[in-house]
Amino acid sequence: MALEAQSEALASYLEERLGLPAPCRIVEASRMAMGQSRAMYRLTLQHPREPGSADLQCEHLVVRVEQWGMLGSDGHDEVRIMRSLCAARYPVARVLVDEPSGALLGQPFFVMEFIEGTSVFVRESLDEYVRTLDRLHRMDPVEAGLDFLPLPEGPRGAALAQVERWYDVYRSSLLGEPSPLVEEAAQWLRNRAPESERIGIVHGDPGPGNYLHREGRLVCVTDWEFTHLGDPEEDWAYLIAMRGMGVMTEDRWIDTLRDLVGVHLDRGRLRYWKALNLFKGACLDQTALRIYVDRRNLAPNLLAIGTAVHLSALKRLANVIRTS
Amino acid sequence: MTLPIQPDIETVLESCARTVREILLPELQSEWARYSGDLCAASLEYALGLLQENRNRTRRDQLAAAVDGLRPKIAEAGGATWRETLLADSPFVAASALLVAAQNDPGPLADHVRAILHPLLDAQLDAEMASAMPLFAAFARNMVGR
Repeated sequence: MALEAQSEALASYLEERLGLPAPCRIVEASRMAMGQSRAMYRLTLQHPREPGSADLQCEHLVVRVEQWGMLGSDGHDEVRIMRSLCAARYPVARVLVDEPSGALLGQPFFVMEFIEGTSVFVRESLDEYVRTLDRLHRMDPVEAGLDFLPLPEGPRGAALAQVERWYDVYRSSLLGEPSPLVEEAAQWLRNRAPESERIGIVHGDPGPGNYLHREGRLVCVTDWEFTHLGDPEEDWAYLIAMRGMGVMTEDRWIDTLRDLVGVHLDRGRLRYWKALNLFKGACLDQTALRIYVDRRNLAPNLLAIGTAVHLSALKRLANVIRTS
Repeated sequence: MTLPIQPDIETVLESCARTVREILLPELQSEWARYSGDLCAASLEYALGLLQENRNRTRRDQLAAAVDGLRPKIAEAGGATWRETLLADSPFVAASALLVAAQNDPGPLADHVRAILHPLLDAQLDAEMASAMPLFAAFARNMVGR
């Protein structure tokens, strides 16, 4: 979907929703290559400084548009989570407008403030990010306004809820035949689900690329579509095995997390959560192939995710579960 | 007058892939256009591979043969749950059920099932990954952050 085609309608819509002086005009809209579950646009909205004034000013915004359920998530909880965490003074971009109907752009979307910064990883930004992630895990979900999220039931509930969530996503996007390796992995994960020592707010996709920093300081944590209540070890394993894999070795990660935030990771449990995160990746990648094959969105990144990225996650998953 | 010989599909697709990669991509300015162009060239290369062989048919036949090879041992040593795994018509469904049963009922039979199915499924996975490598490379090039 090209945003340009709806530029005028979107400008009028934002003018009304943001209460800006008329007329508003989109003077720049560029699709960002970051983020796969949503189409992300950087937007510059120009409007009179005051009603009737010839003096113009610009608002810099980010529009995040859903993609037919791509990667098994929708924006409904994402917006509520971002607003709640923002109110709890966690570093999250402010959501300015939520349009859940899909009437304007064909898909639901929300608009957030543009925050100056970069997601390109630099080592100097890491310690503050790790402390910020740990802070998220230690926040009280009720005090943070996230008590609308389902609380896992039973001692093994955090792991089992995630296995079944992603297995359901996989099965609902299946193309004809099941993958024996995915089915085997699902059962391996069910049979070995560990008991959780504590439940907290889990980001779900943490690590380099999903936070912004500027001049060495963290300014914003991004990408909240997978956030849920669960076992914080799920996030640490994701950080180590997925987004932070190229940053340092697993041993160094374990030492770093212990030294920085006092998190002691057991290797057996870490292996389980690594497997679960790879399983999650393999399952949600399947949604991309389904959307592509059904021709709901023929963007080539969906083909890449549904084939190459899915297969890569599956290969790593098979290796992790067979090293028992 | 018709063309006596049309160019083959592979040549046309390869021409498109090269043109996108060598001529169009260097001219593109926007981040999203470069990413999409890179993936588009990779998609054409992936499509070329699909034309060369009906991989779905080959994979299915290989898996069906492996599942059939397991039948005597399962009939002899497996309980009802094991035997039910072989009722499925699809070899993918049967192989899935066999590997799930192997997780739930560890022992020599489970080890045997894995010893037969894992090497085949791994080889198929590796071959698919090799076919999708241009897509993976293009995707990875654009995952470095902005």
